[in-house]
Amino acid sequence: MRDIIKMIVVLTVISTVMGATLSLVESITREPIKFSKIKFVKGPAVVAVLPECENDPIQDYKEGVVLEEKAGQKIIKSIFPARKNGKCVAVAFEVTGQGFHGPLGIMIGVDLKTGKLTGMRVMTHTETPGLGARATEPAFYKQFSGLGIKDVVLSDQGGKVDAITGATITSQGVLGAVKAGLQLFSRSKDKIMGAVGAG
Amino acid sequence: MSVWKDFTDGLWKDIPPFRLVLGLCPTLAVTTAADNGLGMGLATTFVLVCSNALISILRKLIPKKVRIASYIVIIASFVVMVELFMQAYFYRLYIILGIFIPLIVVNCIILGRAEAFASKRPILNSIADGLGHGFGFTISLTIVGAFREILGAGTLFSKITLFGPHFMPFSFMVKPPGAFICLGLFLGIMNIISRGRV
Repeated sequence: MRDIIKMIVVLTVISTVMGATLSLVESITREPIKFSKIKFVKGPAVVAVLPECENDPIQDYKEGVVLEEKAGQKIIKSIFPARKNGKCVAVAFEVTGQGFHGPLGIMIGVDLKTGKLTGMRVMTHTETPGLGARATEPAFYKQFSGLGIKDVVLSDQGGKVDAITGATITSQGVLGAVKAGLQLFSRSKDKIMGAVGAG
Repeated sequence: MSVWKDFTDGLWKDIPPFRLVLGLCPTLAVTTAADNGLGMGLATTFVLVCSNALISILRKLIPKKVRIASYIVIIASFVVMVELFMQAYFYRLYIILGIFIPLIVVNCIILGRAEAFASKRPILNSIADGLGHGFGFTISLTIVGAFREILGAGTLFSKITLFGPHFMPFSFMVKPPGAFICLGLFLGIMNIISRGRV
């Protein structure tokens, strides 16, 4: 009997102490982990969609900016600013769309002055290789630079983007997401400006 | 003096993957490049030293019947710590090593040293033993990784390119079968070197 009690006590104490230590380590590393996830997962896309700038948009990013509040539904985005000569010239943020097989995670860069796209990259997707997955290729994403809201339409519908052959649904998913992002930008430009300090 | 001997034992006499032939899973799986081997080796060393030290401190408190359970709780906690630190400060390495970081928990070297050494010896010797075996493991993994990387990709530590532009990488070496052949060669070399000595 004494043996059993000793076993239970020792194991319980060891587990409790190790658990407490782990939770301490977790709280120390929580912020660095979040930062390195943003840096290595979203970072390359952020740099690619923004124009050349003198700051590090990933270092300067603003987390959880509330852009819109409608009927209790909040639209919250993390915003990556690009500065030139001390002024914020463009911002990047993430938008999501619906592809053929699943969600599309897309990073878009928007010029603050003109409201036009500075770039677009599809970061995460589950599209078919060789068809929808070609949305990640330069031939597709290069078309987006410099487009305004009205231009983000398929070319056979009067816009300026050629769809990917055999992947109309993916193309439309990307276009819809980018367009929604641009609309969101124009609706909440003031809040974005305020958040990145471009007032 | 015996502390020093405990340390050097792990570096040559029972160098983990070649002499003890333990911990082969990471030795085969992550040694596609020298820096992966080094990262894996250092992570294992950290866990090995910490768990050896703690188990040695607690060796008189832990009842014999639940010792393995206690060791595993201790080892697993240190492994999760390594995983969190690596995710926070060495994210690229974390992505490359992937599932093999949590698998350090079941690395036989660590439980083996806990059971065979740390549970019977004082703390200083246990730390020395952990450091020795950890460094031995790190050196072995780095050598295997470097060998495979040089032949398979023509680079060293992913940065230094060793051969001219006409080098055709022997990519078989960085694939899984190359790992087995490489390990076999190293085991053979170790046997030749040590024949007559032990």
